[in-house]
Amino acid sequence: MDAAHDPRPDWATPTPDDAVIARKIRGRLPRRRFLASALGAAGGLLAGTYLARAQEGPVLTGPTLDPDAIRHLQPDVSVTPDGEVGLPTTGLGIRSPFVDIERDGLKDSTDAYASSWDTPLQDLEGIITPAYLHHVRSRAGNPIIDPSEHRLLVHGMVDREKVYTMDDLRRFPRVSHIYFLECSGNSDEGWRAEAEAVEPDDGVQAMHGQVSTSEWAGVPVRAILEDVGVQDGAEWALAEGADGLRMDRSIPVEKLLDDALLAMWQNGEPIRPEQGYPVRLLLPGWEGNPQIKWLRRLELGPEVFQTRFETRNYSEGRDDGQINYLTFPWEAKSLITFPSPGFTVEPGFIEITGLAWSGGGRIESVEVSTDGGDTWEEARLDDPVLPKAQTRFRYPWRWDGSETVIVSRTTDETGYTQPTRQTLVEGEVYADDGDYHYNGQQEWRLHPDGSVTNVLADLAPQSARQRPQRGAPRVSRDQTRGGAR
Amino acid sequence: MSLRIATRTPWLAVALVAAALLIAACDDDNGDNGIATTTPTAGAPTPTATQDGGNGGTAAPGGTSNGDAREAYASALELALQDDIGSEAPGDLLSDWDINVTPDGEGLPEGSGTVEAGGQIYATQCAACHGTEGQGGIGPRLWSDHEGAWEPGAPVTIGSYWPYATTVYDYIARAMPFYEPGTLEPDEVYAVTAFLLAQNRLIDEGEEMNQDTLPQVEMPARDLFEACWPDGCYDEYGRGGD
Repeated sequence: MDAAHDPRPDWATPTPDDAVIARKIRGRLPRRRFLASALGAAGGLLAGTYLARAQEGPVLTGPTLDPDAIRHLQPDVSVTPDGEVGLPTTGLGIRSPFVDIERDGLKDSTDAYASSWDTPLQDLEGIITPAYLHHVRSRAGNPIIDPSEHRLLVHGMVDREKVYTMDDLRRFPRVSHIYFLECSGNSDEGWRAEAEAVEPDDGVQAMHGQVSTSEWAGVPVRAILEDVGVQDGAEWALAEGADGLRMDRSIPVEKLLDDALLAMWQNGEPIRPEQGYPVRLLLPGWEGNPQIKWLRRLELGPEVFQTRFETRNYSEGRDDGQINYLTFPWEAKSLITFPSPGFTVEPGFIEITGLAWSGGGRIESVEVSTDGGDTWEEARLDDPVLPKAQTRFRYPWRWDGSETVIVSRTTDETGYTQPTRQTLVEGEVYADDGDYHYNGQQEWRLHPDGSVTNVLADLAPQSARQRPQRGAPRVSRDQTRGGAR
Repeated sequence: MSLRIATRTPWLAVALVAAALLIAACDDDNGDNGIATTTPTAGAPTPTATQDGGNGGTAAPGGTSNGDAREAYASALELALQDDIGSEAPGDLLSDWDINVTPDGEGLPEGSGTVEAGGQIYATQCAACHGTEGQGGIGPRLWSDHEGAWEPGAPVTIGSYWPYATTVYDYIARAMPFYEPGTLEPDEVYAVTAFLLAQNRLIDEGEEMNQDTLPQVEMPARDLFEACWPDGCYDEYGRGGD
C-alpha cells in the first residue's frame, strides 16, 4: 500500500516490530509463545501509542489510566490474506479506518460556552445514535465522576429524606426504552433564516444535529419517589447536577411520576461522562436542558424554583413583552437525511430517507414531497415505531435530473402535523425571531449537477452570506438572548 | 481479582432476580411495538394518556408506558422495596448540598455585602469575562443603560430580564467564577450581588444585601414570565398545528 495514501491511523500502520510479529505468526509459533510475543511487542507498542494519544487530551487523565484500564487497551494482532498485519482486535472495538464520520462542533474548550457537538445524522442509518456520536451540550464541561463516590440526595417535601449510592440505585428494578433527546435550540437557524443567513451547504448535521436517539436504561424516577414518599402539595422538583455550575432546573413532579428515568445505561453500556455518567435525568420527549446530567439531587417543593437556566435562558421574549418559560415538550418534527447537503446524487433511483419524531408520542405518518410541497406521498416507516423515539422513514423515487425541492412532513399520534416554515414563522410571536423548539419542514433543493442545498439559504440577504467557519465559537447570540445551544 | 468476584457475587443474584421480574415488564411494555408495522398506520396503538402533555394539544398522550407495564413494574418495585434501599440523608449532606435559594429567600445563608465591596470583587473575579462595564464578553452582558423591564429589542440583563433577585445570589454562589465555582464566601456573594443590583439601578449604592433585604428587591421583569407548563403557550401564541 502506498504509504502516502494509507488511510490507517498511525497506530494501525505496520511497523518493523509488527512485521516481526507477522513473520512469527506465519512461522506458526506455539500459541502460548505467540501470545506472549504479541502482547509483549504489539500489545505494548499499540497500547503505548494509544495512551500517548489519550494523554494528549484532558479527558483520559486520572482514574482511567490505572493498570486495569490500560489492560483493556492491550490489543490482539491479526493478519490479512496478504500476510500483512491487519487491524488489531482490542478490548474496545475499533471502527474501520475507512469510516470517518464524526460529530462536529465547538472545538475551543477554553470558551465558557463550548461543548456543543452535533450528531452526523446524515451519515447514520436506522434510528439509534452510537453513544460516541450522540450530540453534546454541556454548559460547564464534563466532570469526571467516580461512581463509588457519587450520591443522589432526595429531600424536601418527602416523608423520608434519603441518599442513594450508585449501588443502591442498581438495586431497584429497571426499565429500558428507546427515546430521542433533543436540545431546545436544535434547528434554531430556521427561525432566523432571513436575518442570519443559512448557508446553502448547511445540512442535517450543521442545522439539525442536536438530536439523537438511544436506548436508555435505568430506574424510573417514580420508583425513587415511591421509596421516599411524596408529600401532598409537592408539585415541582429541583433537579441538580454535579457539574461545575451545578446545573439545576425545576421539573414537574407529574412528569417524574410519569415516564422520567434515572438513566444509567445508553445503548447497553454505562452512559458516557458527556451524557452524565454515572446517572442522568431523562425526560422523554422534552427539550434537553432540564434532563440534568450527573444528577446528584432532587428536592421536592410546592413551586417552581426559578433557577437561572429556566428564567434567563431557555425562555423566549414575545412581541407583546411577555416571556414564555417552562416550555418542555418537543413538537412533532421530521427531516430528510438523504439526499441532503453534502451529498451528490445522480438521476435514477434514489431512496429518500429520513427521521421523524415527536414529544407527543408515536409517529403516525410521514409524507414526502418531491415537488416542493405541491403534492405529497406517504412514506414507509421502518420498525420500530416507538413513542418519543425517532422513526426511520423511506420513500422510493426516480429523479429525472431536473431541479426540484424535496421535503418531508410528519403527523404524530395526537394528530399534530409538522408545520411549514412559513406557517411557523407567521404564527411566531417571539421578539427576536425565536430561539427554541423550531420544528418547521426542511426543504432541500436538488440541482441538475447532483448537488443538494438548503432552501433556507434563499431567504438570506446576499450580503449576509458570511458565517464563521464551522468550529469557530458561536457565542454572539448569548449576549442578547437566551443562548440556545 | 478474588475480592472483585466476592463483591460482585451478591449482585449477580440481585440482577438475576431483577431480570426475571423485568422480562415480563419489558415484554408488556413494548408488546405493541413488536408487531411489524411497515405501513404508517398499521399497528398504531391506542395511546395511554396518563397526562396532558402540556403543550396545547400537541403532546397530549404524555405517557409512554402502557398500563400493563406500569403494573408489572409496580409489582417488581414492591418486591424490591421489601429491602431498605438507600440511607437516611445525613444532616451534613443536606446542609452541604442544599445550596439553592428560592424567591422567598429560603436557602440564603447568614452574612452580608455592600455595593462597594462587591465592586472590588467584580473587578478581580468577574470583569475578565463579563466586561468592566458589564457589557459581556466570554460571559453574558449583566447590565446596560436600558431602564426598566425587558421589552422587544431591549438588551437582556439582570435588571431587565431576571424575575428574582434571589436567583442572582443562587447562581453566583453555585456557578461563579466560572473556573473556580463555589469559591466565594457568603459575604462575597452578597457583595457581588449588591454590586450587580446597583449597576442595574435596582438598589442604591449605600444598600447592603443580606438574607432579609435581598428577597425584597423588586425586579422589573417579575411579572413578565408566563409558565407554559402545564397548559402550554404555543396554541395561543401561534405554535398550533396546521
